[in-house]
Amino acid sequence: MDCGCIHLRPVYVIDAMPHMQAQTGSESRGLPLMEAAPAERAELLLERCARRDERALRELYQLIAPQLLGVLVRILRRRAVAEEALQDVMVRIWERADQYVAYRGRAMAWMVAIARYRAIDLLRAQQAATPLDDVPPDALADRSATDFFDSTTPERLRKALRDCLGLLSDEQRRCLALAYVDGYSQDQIASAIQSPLGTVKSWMRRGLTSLKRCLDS
Amino acid sequence: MNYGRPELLEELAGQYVLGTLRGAARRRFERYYRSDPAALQAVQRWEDRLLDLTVAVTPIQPSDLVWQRIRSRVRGERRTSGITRLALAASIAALAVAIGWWNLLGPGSSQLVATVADQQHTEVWRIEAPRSRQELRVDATGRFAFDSTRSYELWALPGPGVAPVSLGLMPQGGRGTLRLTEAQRLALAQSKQVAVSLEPPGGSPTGAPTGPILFVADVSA
Repeated sequence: MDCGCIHLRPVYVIDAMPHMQAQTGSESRGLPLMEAAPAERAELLLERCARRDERALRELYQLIAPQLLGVLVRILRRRAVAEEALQDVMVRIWERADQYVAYRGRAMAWMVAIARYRAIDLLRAQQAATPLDDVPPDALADRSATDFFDSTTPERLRKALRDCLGLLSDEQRRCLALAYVDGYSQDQIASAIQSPLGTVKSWMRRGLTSLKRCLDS
Repeated sequence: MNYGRPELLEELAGQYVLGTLRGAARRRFERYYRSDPAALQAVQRWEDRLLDLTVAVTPIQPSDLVWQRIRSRVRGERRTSGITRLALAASIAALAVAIGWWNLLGPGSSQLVATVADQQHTEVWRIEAPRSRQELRVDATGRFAFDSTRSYELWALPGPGVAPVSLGLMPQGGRGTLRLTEAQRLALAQSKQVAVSLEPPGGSPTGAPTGPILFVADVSA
């Protein structure tokens, strides 16, 4: 934590599942998203990857791999499986870097989407065999938090998301977080928070709608 | 499902990105949005909107082995793509098999006309033509790992100096029907070979193969 770099733990995480501890100390230098304008860096690196610059892939990996692995572990729950998935994801990013040009969104959104879809695909196969761990704590519970560690996002947008999450009911926010962050299906959410499936579905639908309305305004 | 309604499209795109659209509905929507600009845009906007929910995720430093494996996979891929497309096509052509193509197609038959297999002789598609010859019925055997983000396009190769003619997109699961126009039937009748190329979602944007040729099969047995 005192490595001289800025290393903030993501403030919304109140989750301490043992297999998910963040690296600390010198190893965290790889934590990239703190460096100057990482969003632009990610984009430039993707452009170089599209031109088949292997060095750029290495740099991109250092920049984003910890974040992507965090996303993957959270959904897949097993680190070994998540690290396998991370390989697939980075290879896909490399193979499709030329398609990023046409993407209407931030570079990080493109890459996180690739990672999350891969994880969701793998869940399909895995979940039948693996019972879920205990229900994770509410990933987005702490709405009073004032700082985000993810500097890929301009302050303006971060504040927008914070404000918009604040407009959701606790149940709506909880459902969205269990789905997006933890990869829960609607059935699993219903049993995790012990609410009828129909109710969960309507919370999610309304949550999405008001998030969209709020963020787009 | 009718994806045309804007509110429904928005909701499905949101649920898709969130991950709560599952199973067959997920795969169906996936195929759909990759070929529909409005749906693609809806998905991308949701990806961007929801990205910041990842603030809830603690970054984890991967073990060193992960990068080593990525690097060797990427280098393997580069070696392959370094070979010219033509050479790749030729080398795979030798390995793809076509069994009793059109000439089995005597009057009245609706027989097996071709099998496309990979180098391990795993069947990828079975192609049949009905009596009328106005369409090809293609079954994906389900034993081949498709890249679901790409399309696999079938081409008639009428011969040297003549541009390949697209016959349509091959199904990645279940059965697909490729309806043939008169021009396509003619091109196919003149072809000694057909090929399958890897294309962007929705097929080649140029009308000619743009991606690597994955399979080549002889038309005449």
